Amino acid sequence: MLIEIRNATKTYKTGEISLDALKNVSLTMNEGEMGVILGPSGSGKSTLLNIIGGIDRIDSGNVIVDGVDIVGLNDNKLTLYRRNSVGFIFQFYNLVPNLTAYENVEVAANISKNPIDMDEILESVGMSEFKNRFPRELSGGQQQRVAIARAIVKKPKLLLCDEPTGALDYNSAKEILQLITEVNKKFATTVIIITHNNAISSIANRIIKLRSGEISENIVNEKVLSAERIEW
Amino acid sequence: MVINKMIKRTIFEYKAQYIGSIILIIISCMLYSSFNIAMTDALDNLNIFRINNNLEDASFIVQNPITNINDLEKKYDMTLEERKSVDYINDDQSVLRILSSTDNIDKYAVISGQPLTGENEILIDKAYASAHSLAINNELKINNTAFKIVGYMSTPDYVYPLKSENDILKNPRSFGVAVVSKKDINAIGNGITFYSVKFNTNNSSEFISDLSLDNILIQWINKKDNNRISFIDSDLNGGVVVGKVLPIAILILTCVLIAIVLSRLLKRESLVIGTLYAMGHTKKELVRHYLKYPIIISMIGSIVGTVIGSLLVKPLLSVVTEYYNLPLLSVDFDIKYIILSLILPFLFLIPVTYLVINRSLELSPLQLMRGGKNKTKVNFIERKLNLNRFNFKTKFKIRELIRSLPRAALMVFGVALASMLLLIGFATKDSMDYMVTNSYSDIYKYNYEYTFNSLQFGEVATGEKRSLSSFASKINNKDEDFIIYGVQKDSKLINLVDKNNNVIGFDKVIITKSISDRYNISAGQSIKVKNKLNLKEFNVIVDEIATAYTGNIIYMPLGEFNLSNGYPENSYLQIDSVDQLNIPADQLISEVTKQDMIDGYNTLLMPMRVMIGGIAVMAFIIGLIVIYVVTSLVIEENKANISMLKILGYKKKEIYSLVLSSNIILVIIGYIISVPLIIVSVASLFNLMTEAMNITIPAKLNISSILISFVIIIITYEISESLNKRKVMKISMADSLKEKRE
Repeated sequence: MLIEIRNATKTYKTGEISLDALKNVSLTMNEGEMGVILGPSGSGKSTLLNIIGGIDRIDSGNVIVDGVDIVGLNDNKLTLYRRNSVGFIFQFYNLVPNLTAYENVEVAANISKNPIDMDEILESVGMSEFKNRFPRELSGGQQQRVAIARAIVKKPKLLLCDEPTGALDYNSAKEILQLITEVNKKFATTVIIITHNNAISSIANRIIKLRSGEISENIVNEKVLSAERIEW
Repeated sequence: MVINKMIKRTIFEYKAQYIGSIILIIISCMLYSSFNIAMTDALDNLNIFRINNNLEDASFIVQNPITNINDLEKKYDMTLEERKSVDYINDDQSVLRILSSTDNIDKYAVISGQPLTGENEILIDKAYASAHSLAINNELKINNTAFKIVGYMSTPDYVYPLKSENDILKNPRSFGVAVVSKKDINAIGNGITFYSVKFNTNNSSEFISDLSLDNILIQWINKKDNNRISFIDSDLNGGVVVGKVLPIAILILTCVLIAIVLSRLLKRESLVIGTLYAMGHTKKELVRHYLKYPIIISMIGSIVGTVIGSLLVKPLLSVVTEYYNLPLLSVDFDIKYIILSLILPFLFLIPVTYLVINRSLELSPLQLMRGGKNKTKVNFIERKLNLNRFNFKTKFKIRELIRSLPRAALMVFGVALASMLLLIGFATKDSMDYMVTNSYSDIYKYNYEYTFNSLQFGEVATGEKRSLSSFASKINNKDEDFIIYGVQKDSKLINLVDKNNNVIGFDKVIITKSISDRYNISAGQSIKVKNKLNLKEFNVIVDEIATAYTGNIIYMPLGEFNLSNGYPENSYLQIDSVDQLNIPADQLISEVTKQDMIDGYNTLLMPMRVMIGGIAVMAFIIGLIVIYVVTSLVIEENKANISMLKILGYKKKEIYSLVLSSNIILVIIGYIISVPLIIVSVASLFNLMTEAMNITIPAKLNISSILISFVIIIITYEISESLNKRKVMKISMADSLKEKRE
């Protein structure tokens, strides 16, 4: 088991208003699994992803990743956890605008102990010929490919994808999902995708549905489809 | 408009940037109003004083007394007055020059106390009085006669009380002036009789010729060659230049700063602007709204700066009038400078910010709502740079540097300005140091210089003979003044070297570097000179140029000097000596001690250090504001990147290093640029100040000063960086997650 979350609770307080983002959430995921967290806006899926990724903390409960309860880690150790174990992919790619595609991947490779060869990783995401272009000179799909290369160059145990196709057109979105599944298979990386697009859940082994900060369904998908075959 | 409520909130949210801009405007207006009003007032005071008290055109000494003053006055339409001075040597070896009171020329003005009304009353210069603990109503014993100090005074010919008219630094501890009645001065003792003259028509040459017919003119000093009279003009004019140039430079810096801050604000608010457009707000309304930012900043800065500047006028004027022995006749707050000080920031800021705002608002509502045009445009340098050979950190830093060229330019310009301001004090001190060392230690090896009041003949037992006279020459169609020294060929007490540091012998005609630089005269050239005392003309061919900044001085062999000027063979007018000589005072025009000059300079060092310190504080504030604001702009622009780097697992130190440390390169570039700029600027300022004077001050900047200033700038940078580090830490990682870029 790579991820085990027990009774995770998170409340956001703004002045006198408090919002329960997660209420006693518990789940597990195995190494190499591909999981999709589904839910409408405000269901808590981003909060859950942030907590697993070590960029937010829960109020109570445990988040055990690869045998370590990250809830107890101090800021420095949490930084090392993100550095060594987690790769992130965002809806809007979040590339550094004044760095080329190659240099954007280097941002992650630079702090990795044993990164994958830069040219190899860019080749694998189909971006070799665009490596000297700046993000502005790339399409959304291409930028997301660079973001994927940046996330996996350090060979993370965990790849967290926050609406990775949310800003892309249909064809680009399918290509990106295809790439993510390839990464999952090739590097045996545990992948968690959060989305509000039901169709995407078909590519996952595990489908977790969230509603109002609670898990409404946790399904093991026996009929995994390839990204090419899904439609929406 | 309800959107105007945003202004206060935005200013408070980004207070460092706006407060920084306001402080820069305050400094600028403060300098502009205080310097211009005070220096103009000082110049006005000086002019009024000179007119009311009838400043001389020249003073002179003749071998035999003039007996037909009234006839000469009528003949040449001038005012001529006989005067007397006695140098009284105090127990502490300081010299108090007692002048006879005058009726027509160089009349004294009482600064405080009472004018002379009776016998045994004396008026004294305030600086000498302070240095010797003398006060009004005290008794001062001179040659066994007790004088009552009835007041402090100033005379127009001793506004800068120097012992010799060729001196450059006053020292109230060793020299001062006093005035007694004509009757009392005769009782004090035998002194020097000299004459002051003021011409109503331009006929001084005819008068000199007439005088030389049946008398020998020993010395003739025009007011512009008399440092006691002319030094103050140069200093005040220098102050006026500083008061005009520096505030404008700071305002230009503020303009760039505000333009960048505003364009960032407009970029940040592009969604709001687009929405307001879409809702029906007109461009005019929005321009008016955003113009309120520079208007508010200019208004606060100019009002506060002008008020502070106005309050500083009187203290500044007091410093000037006390440093120079000048009566403070009136303090006028020239309304012109007050108004200019109030409107200058608007004149600079409004047009620039209008252009910035107007350009941003040219986009359509849709473009604005999408975040504006070319949000993260790749500039041509970024595109052309091939950084493959560098490691990632270096690449990141270089990219960071060139990402925003206006921002980089602001940093370089701001640091260069702050560094120049810092270096101006050091350069002034180093230049003065060099001049004093060059003149009084390296060149003049004698300790005492005696100038006789009549020609001397024969050999001297101790010391070396020298002669001198003042000359005029037409260079580039302008009358320029020189002093020519006739020096013993085997002189050991004057040491001149060429540019290669080789000693130059006195069997040649040598000119100083000051002359060579100022009039572009090189070795081999001929200069036609006219002796101002006997109007004799002759040519001198320059053999060598000496690395000396002692003034417009030509050195030639004494024999040749006498021959060319028609003076008797073996005659001389001065003796230079290492040891003090016992020459009766009534035979001398002056006795100059080198130590007096060095003491004078040392006295000046303390206020100079205070000045350097004051300027350094201002430079520190400007540097801190610029570096802080630029760094905070860098952080603001990199907010998403910093957030991203945190998510990727970068540690605090690694983020500081990547995002912030590249600024140090801009700081260093700014500093490096400032060094040659300050040398050129100080040289121009000195040239301007000494244009009408008989000296040149070379602009020098020592390595130690460069290093000390560099350390101060780096400390400023470090302080500003550490203030900004907290901002980096406050950026949340979640900021990056939903950030829409590109």
